[in-house]
Amino acid sequence: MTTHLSAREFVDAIEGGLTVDRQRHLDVCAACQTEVETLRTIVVDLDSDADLPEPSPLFWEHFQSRVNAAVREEAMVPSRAAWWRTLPGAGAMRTWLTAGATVAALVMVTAIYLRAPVDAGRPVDAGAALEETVVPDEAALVLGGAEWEFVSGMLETLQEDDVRRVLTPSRNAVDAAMGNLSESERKTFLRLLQAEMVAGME
Amino acid sequence: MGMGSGANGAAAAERLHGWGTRVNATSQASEATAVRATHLDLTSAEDRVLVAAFLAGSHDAFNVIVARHQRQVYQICFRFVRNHEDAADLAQDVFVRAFKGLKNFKGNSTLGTWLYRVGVNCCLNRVATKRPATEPIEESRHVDQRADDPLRAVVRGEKAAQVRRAIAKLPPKQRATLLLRVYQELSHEEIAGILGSSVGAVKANFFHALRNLKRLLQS
Repeated sequence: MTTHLSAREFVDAIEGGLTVDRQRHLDVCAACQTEVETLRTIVVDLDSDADLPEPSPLFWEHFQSRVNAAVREEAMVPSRAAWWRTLPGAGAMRTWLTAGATVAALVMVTAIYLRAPVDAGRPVDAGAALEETVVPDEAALVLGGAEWEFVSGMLETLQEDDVRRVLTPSRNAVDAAMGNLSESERKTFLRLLQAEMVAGME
Repeated sequence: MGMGSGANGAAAAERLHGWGTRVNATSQASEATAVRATHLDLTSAEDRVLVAAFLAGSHDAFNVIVARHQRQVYQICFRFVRNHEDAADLAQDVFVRAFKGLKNFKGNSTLGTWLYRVGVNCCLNRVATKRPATEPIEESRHVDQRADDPLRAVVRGEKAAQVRRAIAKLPPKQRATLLLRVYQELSHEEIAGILGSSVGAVKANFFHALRNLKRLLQS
């Protein structure tokens, strides 16, 4: 006696796609035949709910404009995360911010490493070790004078005017830049801009 | 700073919007010229042509896509939520997502299948967060018009309501599989593409959906 039909084979059976070999089993197996019949009855029951109430023709006429309005609305809503991307020089600023953040992280890690107690070779007292791990040494997380000087020195080199110049678009700068683009470059720019706006909204 | 950058941002956005409109107009004009030149009517163009035209900047192409697929998208949404308002909202959401995501459409499946995928995802998200406690009035009011005999129509309507309630209790993936297979008449391969699973898994899901329905209808 062969094994009964599997879940997938039952589906094949009710849809008439069973292999010859498995069909031979179904022909002689009462249990599988009963199951197939039950499943077929369920599918027939499902047909009772085949019809859907049809929306009015007015709905379909209105739907198109409704979608267009929603698309326009989506495009107009500025993304909170991407507002600065629209500013000129945002790409360069992102690079500088990334570099600054990396330097700051490195300084922090170095400071923590330098301040950590040098006791790796000391035998470990289980109780004491537990206390040390539970209560971190807060002093180790604070930047020391030299490290702080380095970070604050970096920040001091940023002049207010420099920051303002990067963040504030000059008059007609965008129009002037766009005016220098060829037709195909404008199309590409628009496509990239739309992609960026969509990415910002997601 | 905040106010200043907001105003500058708004001004920049306005300028860019202006450019966008101009470039879009130019793009659409050249698209229209191309359409006239090749005697190609967007309404009769294949889906892949419409997608390409949309990605090239033709909003008309998107409108044709919506007009062509709105019914199937609405229907699958209605199957999930069983009321017109929610189905209409969901269908709208599907096309907004399509507008934003068509650039990611690789053409490995048909556009219809891809829209089904977006639609099913929207619907599964919706039913996961909002489950109607009872069947909407408009649904229970719906009586099958195919039966000549009013009594048969009522009985059939009762049966349909029973089936709907049972389907609503199925686990999400079984429910999606069942709806796509039985009512949208998609192949197991298409459903596998939509749900991101194998054909075998789709068949197994379908089998378990039918078994669960049997149990639910008997109880």
